[in-house]
Amino acid sequence: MILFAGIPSEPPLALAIAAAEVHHVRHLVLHQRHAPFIDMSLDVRDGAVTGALWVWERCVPLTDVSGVYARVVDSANLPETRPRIGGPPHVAERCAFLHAVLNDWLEIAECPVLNRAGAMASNASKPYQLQRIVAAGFAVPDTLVTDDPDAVRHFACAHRRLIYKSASGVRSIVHELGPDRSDAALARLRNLPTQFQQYIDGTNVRVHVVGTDVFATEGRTNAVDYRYAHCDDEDVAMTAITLPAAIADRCVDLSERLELPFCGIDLKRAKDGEWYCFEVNPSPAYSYYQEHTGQKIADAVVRYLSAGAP
Amino acid sequence: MTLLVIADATEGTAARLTLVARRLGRAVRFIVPAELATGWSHRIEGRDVQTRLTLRDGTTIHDAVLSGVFNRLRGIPDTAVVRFKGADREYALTELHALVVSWLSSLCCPVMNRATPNALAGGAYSAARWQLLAHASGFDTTALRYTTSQRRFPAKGMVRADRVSAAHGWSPALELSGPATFGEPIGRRSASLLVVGETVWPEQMARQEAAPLAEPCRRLARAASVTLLRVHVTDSGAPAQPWRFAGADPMPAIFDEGPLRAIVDALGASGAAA
Repeated sequence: MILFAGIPSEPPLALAIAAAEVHHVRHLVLHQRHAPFIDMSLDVRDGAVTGALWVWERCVPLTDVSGVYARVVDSANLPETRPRIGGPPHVAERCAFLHAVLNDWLEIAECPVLNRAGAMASNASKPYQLQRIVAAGFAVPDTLVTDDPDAVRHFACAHRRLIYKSASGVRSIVHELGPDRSDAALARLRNLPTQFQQYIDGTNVRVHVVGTDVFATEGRTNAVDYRYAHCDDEDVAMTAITLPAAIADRCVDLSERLELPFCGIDLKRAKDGEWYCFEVNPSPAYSYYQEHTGQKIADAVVRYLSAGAP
Repeated sequence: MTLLVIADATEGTAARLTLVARRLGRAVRFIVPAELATGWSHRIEGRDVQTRLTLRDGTTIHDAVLSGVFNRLRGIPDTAVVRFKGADREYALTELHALVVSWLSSLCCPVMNRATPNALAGGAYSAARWQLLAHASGFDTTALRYTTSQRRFPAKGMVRADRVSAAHGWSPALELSGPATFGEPIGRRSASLLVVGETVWPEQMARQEAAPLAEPCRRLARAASVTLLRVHVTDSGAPAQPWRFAGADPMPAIFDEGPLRAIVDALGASGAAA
């Protein structure tokens, strides 16, 4: 049985649940907004992990779960788990405990989990993740994190164009550091180290890896960040493509090294033919790509998570 | 070559380590986490990663001059980013965390303990994860149970291992039926072992008693990707395997000269004190 955990109307989770229904794969939905009515136990004894979930008045042993697709949001952000006037006052503590136990289990569960929080943390430091990406054999853009304006000027001399973006997992729009950068603007850097990267001219390719399945989508646009092309009044054309075998293998190897069996890898095919990797998204919003290209990514998720089912 | 110590100014173990290193004539520099807020040039060019950190007093630290790092970073403190407020402050702390993780991970010299994206000082695992790692490393372990409902999932033969929440509205009935953590009863004797690299020091137990635990301790440290670890054990009452794993601390307080000297040696500093 597959366990889907999160908010089931959220598109990536909704598509995976729909795929499980279409293929008649047994599954259970742990709807976070129903957390006040869900119970869980987790046992660790002699190196074995067991326990049970109580959902929809059903008791499901954790050992019955063949795989988990988790898109769990912070329970503190859910209105249903907050204390309410006139409601039972312990709901928030109880829901926080439930989520803590669930997260603990997802880290140690013996079945496949897409993805475990410990592994997902590599994306919390993009320069750290870049080092892991290099180790997997991909080229990466030259990168500088600094609060020194002079260091940026020197870096800019070495590279024709630069972009800047967050170094952490906080989602940010990639911007180009324009040629009109003023000393006053660069002086603001002294407030906080900022990540700059060599701009790579080429074609964006998003690769979704699910186990050993690879789905590549080419995004053609004139915008610096194709995900936000609409902000620059630019269009983006999405097309499913087949990667060269060596690059596809490298993507699978990278996902294994990062212990992220389901991930969204941001690549760029440079004009000289080199494949650059920018980052690996550990919780990819693949629905956007599936809806544009018809790639069966949700089916692959369901196949991966049900592979070990009896 | 310099041994870099990163810790709060009041962190006793870091202070004692610094004193021992200086007494041994080693070059050592102690910096507080707030000094990591500015002065960065962290450059990644393929496999080549180079970092230059300029401290408040103008001293520049290059990766190449570091013999090792004694890392007691629990986090970047708010005081490092007082110029920011609200959400901007949160963002600034998150960005600095990302930078420091990348820097500490890139160093070729020994780092005790090496940062992970989850924890600047490394070794951040749940109690359940430590139990599994300890079992896989050869320890006898106690059972753990977490439950959101003691009524639905009772824990027979186990004892309450947490403290009841004092939150408003918590009732005695809820204490008996609500969320709880249980463990197996532990023995009356407790002891610990301190792992520094491949060396294991018994604490509150005889060397002879500790000998069978040394290799499981080393395996546990390796499994947890740390080189400094205190392993807590409790007596099991079983003659064949008298000690059970009871917990682990990757940031142990250390008072004895022997382990402190071993850390200084592992971190490789030599030359005059700075």
